[in-house]
Amino acid sequence: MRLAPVDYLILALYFVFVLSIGWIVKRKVATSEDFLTSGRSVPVWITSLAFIAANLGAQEVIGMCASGAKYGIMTAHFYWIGAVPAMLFVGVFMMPFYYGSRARSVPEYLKLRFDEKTRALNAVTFAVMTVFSSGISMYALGLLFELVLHWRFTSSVLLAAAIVLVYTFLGGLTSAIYSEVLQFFLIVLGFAPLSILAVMKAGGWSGIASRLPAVMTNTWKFTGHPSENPMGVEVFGLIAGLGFVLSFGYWCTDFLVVQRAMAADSMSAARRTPLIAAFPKMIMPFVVIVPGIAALALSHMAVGYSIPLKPGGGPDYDQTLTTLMAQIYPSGMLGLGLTALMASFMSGMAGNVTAFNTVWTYDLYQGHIRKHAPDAHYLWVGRATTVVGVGLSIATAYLATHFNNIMDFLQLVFGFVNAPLFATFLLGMFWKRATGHGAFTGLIAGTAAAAATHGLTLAEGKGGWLGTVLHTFPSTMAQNFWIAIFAWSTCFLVTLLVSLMSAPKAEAELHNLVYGLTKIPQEQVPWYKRPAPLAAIVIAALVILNVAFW
Amino acid sequence: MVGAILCVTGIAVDYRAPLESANVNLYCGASMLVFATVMLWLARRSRS
Repeated sequence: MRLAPVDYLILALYFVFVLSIGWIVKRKVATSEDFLTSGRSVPVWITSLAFIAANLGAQEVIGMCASGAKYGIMTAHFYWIGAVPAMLFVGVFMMPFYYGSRARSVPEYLKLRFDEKTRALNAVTFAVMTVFSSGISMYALGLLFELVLHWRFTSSVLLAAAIVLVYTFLGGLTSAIYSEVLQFFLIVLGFAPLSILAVMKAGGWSGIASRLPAVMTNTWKFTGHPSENPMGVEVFGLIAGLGFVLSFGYWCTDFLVVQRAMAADSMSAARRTPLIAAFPKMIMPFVVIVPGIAALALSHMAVGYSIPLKPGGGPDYDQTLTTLMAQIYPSGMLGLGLTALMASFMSGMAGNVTAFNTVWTYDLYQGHIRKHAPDAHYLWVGRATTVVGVGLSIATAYLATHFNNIMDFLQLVFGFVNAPLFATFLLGMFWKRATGHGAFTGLIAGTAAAAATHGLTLAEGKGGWLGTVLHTFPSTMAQNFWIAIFAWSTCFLVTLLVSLMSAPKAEAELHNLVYGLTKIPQEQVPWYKRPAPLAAIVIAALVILNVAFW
Repeated sequence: MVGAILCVTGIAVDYRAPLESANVNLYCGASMLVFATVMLWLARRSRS
């Protein structure tokens, strides 16, 4: 792929914009809370778009397109089942506790609700995962631009990291949030035309459906048994594993996304953030997944496009998006598409670094190393941590060049940690009796159960490292869903049992932290600004989408 | 700004993609300019 001057111009324009965002926001940063939590001052439409953009990294964009080509419209389950219901839940039920507790981070909420050891466990695991995740973003960026544009890996990584460092050092979380909103618009404007043009070229949805097996254009029809669909999943695993545990475990507890809602300028805005975000989230499959399905249909049409093959044979689905862009976009739009990918990688890094900042500064540094320093000191620590975070991300990117299964490893760890965490939050927010000992033990037990499930089962050659294989799953996806189910269930039961055997906190200490002891404000606002009606509209739209693509 | 760049590119230079004969830059650029106009109108409306 060769870029024309107009492509470089668009890319340069993006760099200038994000650096300008950092420069403008810098003037508003006076305290550590301004830098690390945006001072809870961001308007709701910004936090809403940042909420989904924080999750919409380039690996997701490329990965979802690849999955669309490989699994068809069933991939939309990752959005319609695997994201939107959890987003509604966090907005309607959990945000009053997150925002109302005045906690500056998710681990800090755990400290207020439970105890310091539970906070420390979550803070450490989150900090480590965030830095690794940021590094993986950079690694994937370097690989992609080396493959597609023949840029040197080092140049891509260092250029992107330098720009991210500048604007996050200057403006902190607010810079990251506004750059994520920019990234969102770039993705929609950069890839929606690709989707439209590719579908038109393939003869519309009916043309696509006529050229592909029925399983590729139906979401639920072929989920009765794992052998019926290429994902190798069945309806219970899909709903319980993806739709409940993994989905809620991520969207309800991962500080990277929750932080965006917590930066909102009011309780009402914080609650509405994930609800408003659910609307574009429902539409995203048509932007990121449908191009992959259309690409597969075009491959069957002898129009001059086919999905590239791997050196050893078999389709290289990961190259679907970039090769489709190269065939359908002229120079100009091609530059916009690549800029959107670059923006996604960079925002992924910025989001992870700012989340890492907050957790390190408030939960680990202030919590354990230096507790009563002046605020200016924590602002300095936050800025220094930005530099360290970017440095660690670059180091991780290079580490990944030596261990190319590090992405799989990170996904696994996310699954091990997030699934039980949701059980902890569920019990913590809705059951007064849950205790710190229960929460801590439950998290450890849940993570251990996840590891044990992975070690005792096999899927596509992965797992089974405990020596005995008790079950073989048809796909790693099915394995991940069931790992999440076992992890969540174990954490839930152990937390319940240990809580009943240990002393709870006094109710006076649990105000604004748990259901029944939190006054949820009833604001006098129009119906379209209230959480319940918004959630009802989203649910109705979700049902329509699932039925339309049954 | 991107919309304007794409419109100018679409008018001034005949870039075509291998599989697409339409002037994608011009159409997409024009759409972006419409989108930008709507956003600017919303911004002005929120300030007044």
